[in-house]
Amino acid sequence: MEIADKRERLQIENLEVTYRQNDNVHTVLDGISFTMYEGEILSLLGESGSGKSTIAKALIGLLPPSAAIKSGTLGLDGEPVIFLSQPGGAWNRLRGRGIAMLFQDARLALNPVMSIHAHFRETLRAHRLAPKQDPSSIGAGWLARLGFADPARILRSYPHELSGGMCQRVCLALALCLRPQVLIADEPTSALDTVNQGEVLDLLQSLQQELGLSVLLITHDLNLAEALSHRVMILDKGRIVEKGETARVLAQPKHGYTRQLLAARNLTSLSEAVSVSGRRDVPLLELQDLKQSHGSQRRILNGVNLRLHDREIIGILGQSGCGKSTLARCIVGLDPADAGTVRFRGRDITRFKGRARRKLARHIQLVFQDARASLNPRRSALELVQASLHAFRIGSRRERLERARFLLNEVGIKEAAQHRRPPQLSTGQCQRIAIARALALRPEILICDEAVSALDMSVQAQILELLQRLHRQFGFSILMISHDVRVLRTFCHQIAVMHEGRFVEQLPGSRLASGEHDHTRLLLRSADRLEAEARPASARETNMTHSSH
Amino acid sequence: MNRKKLLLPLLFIFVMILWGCSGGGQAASENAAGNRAEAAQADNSAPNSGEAPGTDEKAPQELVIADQEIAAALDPVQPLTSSYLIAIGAGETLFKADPEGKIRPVLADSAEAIDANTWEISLNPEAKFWSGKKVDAEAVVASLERSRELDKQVVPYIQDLTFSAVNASTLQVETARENMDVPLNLSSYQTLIHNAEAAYDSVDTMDLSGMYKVTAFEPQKRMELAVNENYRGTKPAIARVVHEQISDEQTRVLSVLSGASHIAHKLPVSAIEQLQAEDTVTLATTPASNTQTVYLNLDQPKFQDVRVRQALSWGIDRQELILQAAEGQSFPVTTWLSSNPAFAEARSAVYAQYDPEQAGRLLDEAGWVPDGSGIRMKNGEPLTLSLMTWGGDRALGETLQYQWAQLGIQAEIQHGDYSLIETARETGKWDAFIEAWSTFGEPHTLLTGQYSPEGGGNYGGFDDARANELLAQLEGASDEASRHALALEANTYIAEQAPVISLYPRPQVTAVSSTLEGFVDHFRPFENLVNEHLKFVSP
Amino acid sequence: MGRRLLLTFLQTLMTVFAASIVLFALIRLAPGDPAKLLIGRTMEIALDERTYAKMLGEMRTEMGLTGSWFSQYLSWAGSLLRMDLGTSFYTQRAVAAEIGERLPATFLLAGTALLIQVGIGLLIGMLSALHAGTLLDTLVRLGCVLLASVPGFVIGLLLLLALAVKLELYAIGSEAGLSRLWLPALTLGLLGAPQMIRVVRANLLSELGQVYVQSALSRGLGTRRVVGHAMRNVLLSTITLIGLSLTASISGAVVIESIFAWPGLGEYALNGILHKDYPALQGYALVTVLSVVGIHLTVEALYVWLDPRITRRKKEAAHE
Repeated sequence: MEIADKRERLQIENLEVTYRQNDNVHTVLDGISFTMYEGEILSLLGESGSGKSTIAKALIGLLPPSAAIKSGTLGLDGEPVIFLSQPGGAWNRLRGRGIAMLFQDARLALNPVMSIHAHFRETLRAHRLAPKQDPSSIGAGWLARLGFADPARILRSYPHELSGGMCQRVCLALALCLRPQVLIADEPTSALDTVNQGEVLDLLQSLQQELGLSVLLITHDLNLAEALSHRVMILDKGRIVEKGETARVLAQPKHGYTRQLLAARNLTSLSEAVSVSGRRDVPLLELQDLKQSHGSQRRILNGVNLRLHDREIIGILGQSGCGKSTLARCIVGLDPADAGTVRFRGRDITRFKGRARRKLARHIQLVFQDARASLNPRRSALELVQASLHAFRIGSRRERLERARFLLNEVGIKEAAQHRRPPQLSTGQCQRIAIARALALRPEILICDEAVSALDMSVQAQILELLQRLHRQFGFSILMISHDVRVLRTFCHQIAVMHEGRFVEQLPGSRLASGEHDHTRLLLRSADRLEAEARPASARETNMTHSSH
Repeated sequence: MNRKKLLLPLLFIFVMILWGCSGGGQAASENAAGNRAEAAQADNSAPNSGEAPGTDEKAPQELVIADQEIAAALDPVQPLTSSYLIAIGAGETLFKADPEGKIRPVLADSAEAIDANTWEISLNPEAKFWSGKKVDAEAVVASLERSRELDKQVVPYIQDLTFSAVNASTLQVETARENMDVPLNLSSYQTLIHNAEAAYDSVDTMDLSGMYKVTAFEPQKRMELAVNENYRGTKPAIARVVHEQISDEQTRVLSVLSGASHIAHKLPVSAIEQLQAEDTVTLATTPASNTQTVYLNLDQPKFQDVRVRQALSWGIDRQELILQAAEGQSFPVTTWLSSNPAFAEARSAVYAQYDPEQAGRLLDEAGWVPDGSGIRMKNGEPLTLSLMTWGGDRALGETLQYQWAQLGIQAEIQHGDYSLIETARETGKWDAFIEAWSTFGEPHTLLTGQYSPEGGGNYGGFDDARANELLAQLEGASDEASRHALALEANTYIAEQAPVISLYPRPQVTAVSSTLEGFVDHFRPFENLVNEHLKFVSP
Repeated sequence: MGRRLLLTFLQTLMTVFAASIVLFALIRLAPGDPAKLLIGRTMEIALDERTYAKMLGEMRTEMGLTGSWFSQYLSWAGSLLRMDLGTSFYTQRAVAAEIGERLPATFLLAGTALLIQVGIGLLIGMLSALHAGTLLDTLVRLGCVLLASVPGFVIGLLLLLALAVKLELYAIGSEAGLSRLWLPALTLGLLGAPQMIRVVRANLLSELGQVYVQSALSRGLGTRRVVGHAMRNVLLSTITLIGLSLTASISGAVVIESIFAWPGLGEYALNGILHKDYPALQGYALVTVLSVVGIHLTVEALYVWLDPRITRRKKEAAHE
């Protein structure tokens, strides 16, 4: 497979984009030039804030009004060159059929009040692809190609009835049914759990080859890039610092930033550093035969038993939909359990309501996946932390302020950032604030529900380290809920594997690999799949001899 | 999906239901539109008739009266209904007060006092109800007895009267008290003469005697009337009358300005200036026969000194009050009864002019002496006065406050709902309030009601031997002349004693379209809106 | 489903019951004696004290005001069960009949005003959102603030002055005809429009920032069509506001109805207050409560019907 022989599909020359914020103008992309070839997967790697998404949006003309394209041309095979700095209607011709896009969160990329059928109909009609023919047969065809067993049912469904992975496959079908030349996939799987991730990526890869599609894969995940792409570009602070064949770049990084990224990938095993002490006979938290069905026939929790001791960190591993989040909500009483008991320090708190439940909240705090959404966007970091103290009438005004300052410093939000509001902060910083806010009440248990899943890998590592340090410092217990084997393996004393509403296995974090249950093995396989696949993929690529561009 | 396609039909159905709901309204509106079209036609024909003189009579026209409220029912025994029926010419009483306050026969022909306790009233032989039934003595007795039974508001006027038919055209009235003015009592609208045998639940069955017949009626909305072709006297020139309820006073002003109505009644005093500037309307601002009066609580030690009360009255510039609070549309009245046209000579009988010096002297004598800052003090207490006002009297209260302040009296104004004044009266914790009672009626009844110790309107608790004696003499007076003289004397004496302070009669503001001719100002406009001489002219 | 309906029905019943008690008490707490008012204030001075007191007592008995509030409430509630709202103190007519005469006018006005309000709100709100930050948007927002800060009666009177007096396009009268409908409806619609415009603008702006809008654009859908997508979500979020507006114009169009002499429920209530006509006020309040509750139920039902996320939540997620 000689990429050099392939036709050039897309050429970007000297793209420069600036953002206007208040009165300041920041240059976000500076002199970006690259070429994509037919049938190639090109990965664009970089941390959040490096400008990855801006490239994607510039290529498809969806930059926000505050952004301005200073210069740049776009040449698509068979189309006249577009001067990106000139506003105009060229996009309507290109969008969809020339360049298509896959978004990070597919659930949000579909209109909630429209059925999948309506999405297909509108998309096909917009391009006059289905004037006579029933759009549903085209849609069904593509859905079938994307691995749906019952396309007719999917067409009838609404987005909220589908899982994240299914939505992403639907989006892929919607994009591909227009037969685009180039597909931009912006973090297409980072919102999915590992099993779904694998599925979507497999499909993307096979269809890409089948259709000869060029894919620009935007990701922060080195493993993903390594497994899928022919070539990679590394983006740092709006510049492409390194590009070339995947295997070559990852094996012999030339640029310092690339080396830094590679280092972050190999998380050191943290679990050894965790010291377990102060165990007592009465567990801090004890769950007995917890059941919850949300009023439907299907049990979401089907008899969960768990003991969490002082200063212990227990991980709960499971695919999305296995009931992990419901469990967390049951414990804090957001979703009262149908049956079973939750004991906190031996006290039955299952049916606590009102004041009692509120008082309990001091002891058990929850940190959510989407930290940004859980923070009031109108309040500064400092106010947010103080507010939670104020809610429990803790300390004087001054004491609250001091404690908020201290905690924010502890989680790494420095003086200047403390007065900013969530929209002005990065996702990682928001998660730090959420943690500080949770810790402000000195809880005995911290429940982290996918608390790091939405973060870039390097940020993920920082937050995990932070949690570990705080755990040593304050001595609370942690219930860590995640779908990510890598996160839990290195972090938890014990890992409980959850499947279909119950724990199928519970074993020490360090010995997860020796899990025996089928589902544990499946999860481990999916997690290792990328790394496992990375080798054949790069082997394939090493055979390719193309001049580095 | 499919059910969303249902949305449009559903919306359609919703709109249809709306139309359906308005079915009645729609029909009515077509009616109204028709009427308006005719009215428009009439308007168009008006200039034509101007070009060709003498065609005025053949142009049938519709007179629209915009009122704050119209009848809520057709039965004259319902509260206020009789006043509206009389105002628009549908109903009649035996007697009526003319614009000078003289009592004239209407359904009656004449009245004569046979002795101190008996009156004989002969009826107009031509008088007929709409149904054609003669208004004979028996019908009149039946009507009055029906009112006595069903209408509580008629009680004060006929409680002392016994009616009997002498013959078909003569009615005898026995009075429980001596020397009562029976025609005056029988001129009140509550004594409207109606066919007691008729049913008053529809326009078809009701039976009155006025020059206009009710043809359509929507309670508290609209009443339509047409000329009663069998009317005994001069038939009105205008064929139809519409009495329309437009509750909002500003809208009534706009209604007459826009030409949608020809007479707009009970307009706010504040609209006078605006209306005077318009040449499409003329203003009728007759002061009513009532007196804006400051009632004083005589239980308060400061008001027990007659000099203080007199000073309060001397210290008022009534002309200025009228300018400030009534847009100049009234006249000063210094004695209570003199807002009644029959007692016009007593208007400035006592406090003939604004005299602050006199007021100051009286207060000095009474021991209320100004301190350094100009406030009158006695025994270390300042002379203060809390004045309660309601309705449209806020400006009046504030002007009084200013004028009394010139004398060194600190007045405080409390403006609010009438029920607050009622409550204050019940508890006795009040200084003064403003209220206007009617001064039209039998002088003895009126004066007793206000100034005898038992009087329901004697709020201040005035009890004066000389006044009581004068009132007793008035009750016993046997002829009209001595009644008048005694009433004047009592009225003047009481004004000198100043248990209350009379200010001016309330103006009644009515706007009349310039196309309408023949509107007569009347001190009782609420029962005198329509007369047979009204006609449309080209402006 | 049947159980849920029953539950909703019982809840509604409880709400109406509680509201009726509160209203009954509030109406009676207001100062002033309806019996005195009905006899006429002049009677107090025209009659001697004894006659007046006797008459007042008779009047109270006749009006059913003699017993305790509790027994008065019981007798009112009792007649309610027989679909009888009582007899007006002032007009001596059945309250149910009087309200029946006025309800269509109120519904007609409220419905038309709502259509105008929604029409203006959607159109201007959409324009404003699509041109956010431009002069047009600023003007629209300024207009909204101005319109929202001027009291309703001022707008009504100004419109009357301009359209009825100066331009002679509108006839002032007392009928509830279609030819008289447009101006009060326009006024009421204009009064409600700023709120609607603001909600539509804000919601559309937030919808336009959603990923699905970008996604639709990236698939090559035209701007107009994409705005259409977003508007469907915006419409969903305005249903509540529409319900609230309808509630307000059914119960609270008192001022506008009075200014335009529109013989609806508002004017009826105003007359009722003037005459302290308890049965009329009670009837009005009850009808208002019922329509408020009815509208809220309808809004809820509409949500369930229109928003697939609510309808289908109960169904099993489609697992492959």
